[in-house]
Amino acid sequence: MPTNYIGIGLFILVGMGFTGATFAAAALIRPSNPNPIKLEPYECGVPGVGDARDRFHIRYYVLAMLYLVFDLEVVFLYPWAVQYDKLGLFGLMEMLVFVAILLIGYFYAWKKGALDWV
Amino acid sequence: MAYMTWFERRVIGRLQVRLGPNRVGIGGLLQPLADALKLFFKEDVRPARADRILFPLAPAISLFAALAAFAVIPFGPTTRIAGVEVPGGIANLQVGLLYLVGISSLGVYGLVLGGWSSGSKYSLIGGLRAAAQVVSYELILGLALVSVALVAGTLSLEGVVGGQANGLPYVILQPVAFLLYLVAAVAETNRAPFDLPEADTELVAGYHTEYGGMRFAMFFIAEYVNVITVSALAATMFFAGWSGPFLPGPHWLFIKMLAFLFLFVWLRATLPRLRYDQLMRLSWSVLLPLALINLLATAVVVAVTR
Amino acid sequence: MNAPTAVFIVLAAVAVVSSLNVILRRNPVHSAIFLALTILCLAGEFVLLNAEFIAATEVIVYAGAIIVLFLFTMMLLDIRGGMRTRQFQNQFGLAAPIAVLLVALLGAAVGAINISGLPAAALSTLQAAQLGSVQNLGQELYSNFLLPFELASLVLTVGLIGAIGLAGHGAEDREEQVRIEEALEFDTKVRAKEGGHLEPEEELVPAGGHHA
Repeated sequence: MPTNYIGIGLFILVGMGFTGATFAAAALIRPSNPNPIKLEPYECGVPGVGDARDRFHIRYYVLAMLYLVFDLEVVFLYPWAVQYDKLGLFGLMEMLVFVAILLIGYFYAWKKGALDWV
Repeated sequence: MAYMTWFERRVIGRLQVRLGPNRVGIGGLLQPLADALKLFFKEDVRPARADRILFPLAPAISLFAALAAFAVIPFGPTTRIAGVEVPGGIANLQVGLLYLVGISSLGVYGLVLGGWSSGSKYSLIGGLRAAAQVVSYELILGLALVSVALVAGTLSLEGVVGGQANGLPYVILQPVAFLLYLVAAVAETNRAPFDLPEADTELVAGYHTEYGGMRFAMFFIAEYVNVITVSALAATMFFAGWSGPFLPGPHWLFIKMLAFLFLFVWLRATLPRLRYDQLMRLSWSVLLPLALINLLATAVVVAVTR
Repeated sequence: MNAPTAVFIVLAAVAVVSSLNVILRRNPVHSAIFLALTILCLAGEFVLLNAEFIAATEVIVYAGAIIVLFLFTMMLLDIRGGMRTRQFQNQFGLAAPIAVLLVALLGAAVGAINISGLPAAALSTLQAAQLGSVQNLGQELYSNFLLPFELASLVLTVGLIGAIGLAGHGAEDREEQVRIEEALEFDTKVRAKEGGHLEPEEELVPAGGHHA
């Protein structure tokens, strides 16, 4: 096991512990007097209309897909960037092909208006 | 960390020709403590329509992700104490940069779950907007950092600092990447002028509309911890981190970080908020192509010069 | 029992329990969160195997991008309605043989691995760390595995174009028209109601549910 991660593991445990302890402490000392009106969602003082868990615009789905595609591209770029010195011009060419193929999808999205948010 | 709020309120106060909090303690130094205490004693309302499990979990995820990200920032060089290598931070990972990117992508959960679980329309819209914004700018952040990794040839943050300590800081070699990083970092942390998720003129308070007391404080602290982390990362990646003359490592990192923190506050005091479609267009139609061109140019230059 | 084994057991136990929760939870958002927890545990296991880059990728791609995609997709669905129907029981007849087949396939795959032939046992920690390093991975990926790498971009592009096709941006103009008409209708309805008070159960929300 890489020893570097012992520090990270401990740090993560401490982070969890701090978050949990703060919650526990707050839960112990705070008052709790709920009533139905108080538990209504906030609505600027007028009675609320409809349910919040409504369906959403599909552009968020397209955005998530775009994000997924380009996030994968970035992940592929990291080992490439580190090894670039050794890969040389050939490495540049293959990454150009890779990005060019992804850009087809990107320009298609642009042309279809998936990037417009008005 | 808590003093970030004091720092921000004092600086904005000065920028707006007023004093800011100065009553509690000397120069208002005890104000954050008083705020925290107050929030501890606040009633924590859980709305009737909220999800029972996810509603309290969301702020915890936010805070946890923010804290965990800080673990790989190096404060100083690796030293040998009694034959054991002691890293100049909490941990020096071979893939430190990837660790940071990964943990920061977990922070999105806090926003989107906080918005969804509240059962309020403002929260949901705020949460979705926040998530869409954060993921869009995360790409820009990633591409800017890849350009630096290309120059540095390593993903270890200590390696990146080492590369700059013996040569030029990467802000000179990668000015475009630095600007891209700066814009993306402000957007990532949902700070003004990119604070649309909590645009109070239209969304009340965005994803944390329904939160109060300590749970609200968690979101709040998480935001400030994120600001500190991206400032520290900016100092590390572009301004040689802990390395500098005369002073020991942590001091230099702290000074550089403070400069970025001041910049964050300054931006908030100066710039008006963007409109949502402008925000998304900026990221997808301007910054993303720019980041790719910058990466390509860097790759060509590196290939020619080495 | 040494420390790595202990960590392995804890992570594996959490992964198994949370992956069971992924399929047993009725609320799909809860399922997604348990899936994220499972993936984080798997990333921890990869770290134990000295595969740091794979671990980081697991977190960035799966826990980051894919779960966000799932969450966004779920918010497009009518979750309340989905939770009410007990749809899973209806598909039992189809699901059971598929599950048996899947288990058989996995068993065959695991059985086919020649464990004694693996070099892992002979590697020192240092060698293992080098094997899983980003440099080594980059070298392999961009020379010996060039074709799969380029094909990956093609797959991604197809996925993206498919998503845009699903979203149907060609029909946007017509949709916009319908939305405007609905809004106008809603407006007249509200105006007609003015003076009298609104009953809470009355649905005065324009259909379609286009927020944001």
